[in-house]
Amino acid sequence: MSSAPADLDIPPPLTIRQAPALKQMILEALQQHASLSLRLPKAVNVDLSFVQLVEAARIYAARNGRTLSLAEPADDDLLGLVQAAGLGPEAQAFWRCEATQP
Amino acid sequence: MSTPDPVQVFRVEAGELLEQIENGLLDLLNDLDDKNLINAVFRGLHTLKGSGAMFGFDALAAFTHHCETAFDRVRKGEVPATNALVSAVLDARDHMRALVDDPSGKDDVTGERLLAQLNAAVDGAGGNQPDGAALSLAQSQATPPAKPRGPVETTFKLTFRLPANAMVNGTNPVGLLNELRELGPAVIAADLSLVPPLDQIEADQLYIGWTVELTTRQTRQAIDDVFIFVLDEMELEVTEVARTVVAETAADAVEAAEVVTSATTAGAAPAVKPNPKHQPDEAEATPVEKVSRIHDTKPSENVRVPAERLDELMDRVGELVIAQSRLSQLASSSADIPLRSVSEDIERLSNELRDTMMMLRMVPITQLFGRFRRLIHDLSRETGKVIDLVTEGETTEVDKTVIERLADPLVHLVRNSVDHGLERPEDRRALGKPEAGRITLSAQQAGGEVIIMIRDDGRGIDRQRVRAKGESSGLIHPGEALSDQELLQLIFQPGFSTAAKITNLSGRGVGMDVVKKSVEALRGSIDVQSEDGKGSTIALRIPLTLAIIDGLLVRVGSGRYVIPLSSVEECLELSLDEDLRSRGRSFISLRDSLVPFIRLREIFDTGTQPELHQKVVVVSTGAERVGLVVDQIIGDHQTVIKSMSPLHHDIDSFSGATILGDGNLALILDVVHLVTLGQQEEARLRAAV
Repeated sequence: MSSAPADLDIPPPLTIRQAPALKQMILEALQQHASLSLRLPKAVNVDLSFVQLVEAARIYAARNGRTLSLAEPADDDLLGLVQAAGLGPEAQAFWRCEATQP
Repeated sequence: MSTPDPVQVFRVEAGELLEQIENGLLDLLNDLDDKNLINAVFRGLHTLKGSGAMFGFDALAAFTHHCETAFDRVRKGEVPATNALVSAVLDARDHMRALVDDPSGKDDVTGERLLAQLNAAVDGAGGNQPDGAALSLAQSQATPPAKPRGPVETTFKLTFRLPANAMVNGTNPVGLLNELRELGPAVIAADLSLVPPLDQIEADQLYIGWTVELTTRQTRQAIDDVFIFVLDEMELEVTEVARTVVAETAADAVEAAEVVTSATTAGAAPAVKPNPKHQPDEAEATPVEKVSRIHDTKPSENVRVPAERLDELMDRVGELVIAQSRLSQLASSSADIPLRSVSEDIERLSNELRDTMMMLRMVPITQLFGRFRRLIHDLSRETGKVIDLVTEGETTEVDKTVIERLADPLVHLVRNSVDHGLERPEDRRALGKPEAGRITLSAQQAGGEVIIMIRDDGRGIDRQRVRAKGESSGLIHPGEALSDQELLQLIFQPGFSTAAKITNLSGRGVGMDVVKKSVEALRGSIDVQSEDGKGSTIALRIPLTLAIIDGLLVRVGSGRYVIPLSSVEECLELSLDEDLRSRGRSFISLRDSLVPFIRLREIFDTGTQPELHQKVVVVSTGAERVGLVVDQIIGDHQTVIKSMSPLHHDIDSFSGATILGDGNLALILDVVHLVTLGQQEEARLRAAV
C-alpha cells in the first residue's frame, strides 16, 4: 500500500449502470493508497447510486485507516442531489470539500 | 451458460408490460371510473418509461412519458377517462411496441401524430366535463379530488425503506422524495445506518432509508400514492403527529372554527387552533399505519426461460426417445437380463422425461385469446359495429408452437366473422336482435386434441351466394349435388369470397384458404356450421402437441406407417372373404352404421398381395370416420415428429416422418386428408347407388 496521496479520475456517467464498475475502481484504489482523492466529472448524469457508493467508500476508508476526499467540491447538480436525498450536514460538508471523514 | 442479453430481457418484460397496459385499457373501456384500472395502467406506463430509459430505449421512454403524464392527470382526477382518451393511449401503445422493436425512434411522424391525438383526447375530455354540480359529482364518483381537502393540515412522520432492488427496477428514490415535497413542507433525513462499507456493498442495491416529517393538506392516501409502484415491497411506517387548522381567508377562519368546534369540543374556539394532540375518530385511519410486507414477500418460484431453449430441449428429448426406442428393440431380442432391465428403466425414465417436457411446453390458450380483445376493439371502431367478445375455456392448455401458429388463422377468422357475419347495429335492431353482436371464442380439450370454436350470432352464411360464387368461379359445376358441409367448405377454396365489396378486413378472396392450409399444417381440421339469421360456427380441431405423439405403428406392404393414436377409434379384422365381398363398395358395417374404408395398399401402390387377415383401423376427425385397411398392426409407438422435406410437401397423405427403433423411417399418416378422401369416396359410391 502506498502512503502517498493519490487522485482517482472518476469517469462519467455516475449512474446505476456504472455503479458496479465504479465500486471496483474506487475499492482497488483505496486498497492501494492510504489517501485517495476522487476527481469527479462535471455536469454529468448522476443518480443516488453514486452518492451511496461514495458514502460506502467513506465508511470503508474510516474503518481501514484510509483518507478519502474529493479533489474539488461537487458541482451544483451533484450537491443538489445530495441535498434532495436528505443527507445530513456532515455528509454535505464532505461533498462540499469541507470535511473528509464521516 | 451464457448470460442473457439484458436488452433482450427488457424486450421480453416490455412485451409483458405492454400486454398488461393493453388489457388494462380494454378493461377500462368497460368501466371508465375504475380507479384500480387507472392506477394499474399508470403503473404500467411508468414502469415501462423507467425501464426503457434504464436500458437505453430513450425514444420509448420519451414517448411513454407523454402517455404517463396524460394518465397521471386521469389518476389525479384532473381529467376524466373517456373512450377517446383510452383509445388514444391504446393507439400510442402500439407505437411503444414499435419503439421496443426499433429503439431508434426514426418514425417521429407517427409519434407526433399519436401525441397530437392524445392531446386532443385529453383536451376533449376536459372540454366535455359537465359544469357546476354535475362536474363535482362526476369527479367524486370517478376519483377522489386531488385538490387540498380543506383547511386542516396534518403532520405525518414517515419512516421508510424502499425495496433493495428499487433503483435496479427503475425507481428513482430522490424522485419519490421530491413527490413528497410537492405534498407540502417536508423535513427529510436520510438514514445511512445500513449502508455497508465499500468492500461489502452491492453497488446497484439500495441501503439508504429515510425519515420524513411532512406537513400537508392532503390525505394519507396521497402519501401512499407517492409509493404506488413499490408499496407492496417496501417498508413504510406513517404516523400522524399533529393536525392543525389553518385559516387563509376570513371565510376559512369561520369554516375552520366550525370544523374545530365540531371535531373537538363544543364552545368557543379560536379561529386558528393548533391541535397537536388531536385523536382521529374511529372512522378515520388509525394514527399509526404500518405497511411492512417486504418480509412476507417470497422469492418468485417461476423461472423465465427463452422459448428457443425449450425447443432445443425438446429436440434433445426427441433424440433420446429415438435412441431409447432402438435400445428397447435391441434389448428385446437379447437374452441379457440386466440389459433388458436397464432398457426398461431407461424407457420409463424417457417416458417421464417426455411427459415433463410436454408439460413445460403447454401454455394456457388465454395467451392467444387475450390478443383478440384488442382486435375486437379495433374492429368495432373500424366498422361501427357494436361487438361483445366472449371467451370460454381459457385455461385449456396447448403446445406453445400450436399457439404461435394459430394466431394468424384465428385473427382472420375473427375478422371474417365481424366483417361478413355480424350485422350493423341498426340492422340487428330491425331484426329484433340485441344491438351488440357477439363473437364467442371457446376452447376445450377432447382427447389428444383441442377444439377451438369461433361463433358469431350474425346473419349466417348465405348458401345461395356461396353456390353461385362456386359455380361462377368454376369450383363446382352448375347444379352439382353437394352436401351442406361440402357447400360450406367451398369458402375455404383459394380465391373464394362472397363479399360484395372489398374491405380492409376481409373480402379480398385471400385468407380462408390460407387459414385452412395453416390449420392442416398443424395436423388439424376445420369445420363450419351455419344457420341463416342465427350465425356461424367455425371449429378448429388441433392436436395438443406437435412434437411427440403417441402413434399406432402399422405395416402396409413392406412399409411401416404411424397413425396418430388420438385419431384412432378402434381396430377391426378384415378377412379376405369380407375384403372380396366389399369390392366396389368399400364399406364396413360398424354397429349399424356404414363406415367407408380405404385400402392403403392400393393408395400407396405397394404391389403386394393382401395379408390373409388384414386389419381396419377406424380413425376419425370430429364426426367423420373412415377405416384404413392395413396389413398388420405392430403396436404403439412413441413418435417423434420430423418434418417432411420441402420436396415432399405436395404429398397429401403424410404429415411427417419419424425414425423407428431400428433406424428406419416411418411416415406419419395425415388422418385429416385420409378421412376427407374416404368421405369423398363414400359420396361417390352413394351417388352411384
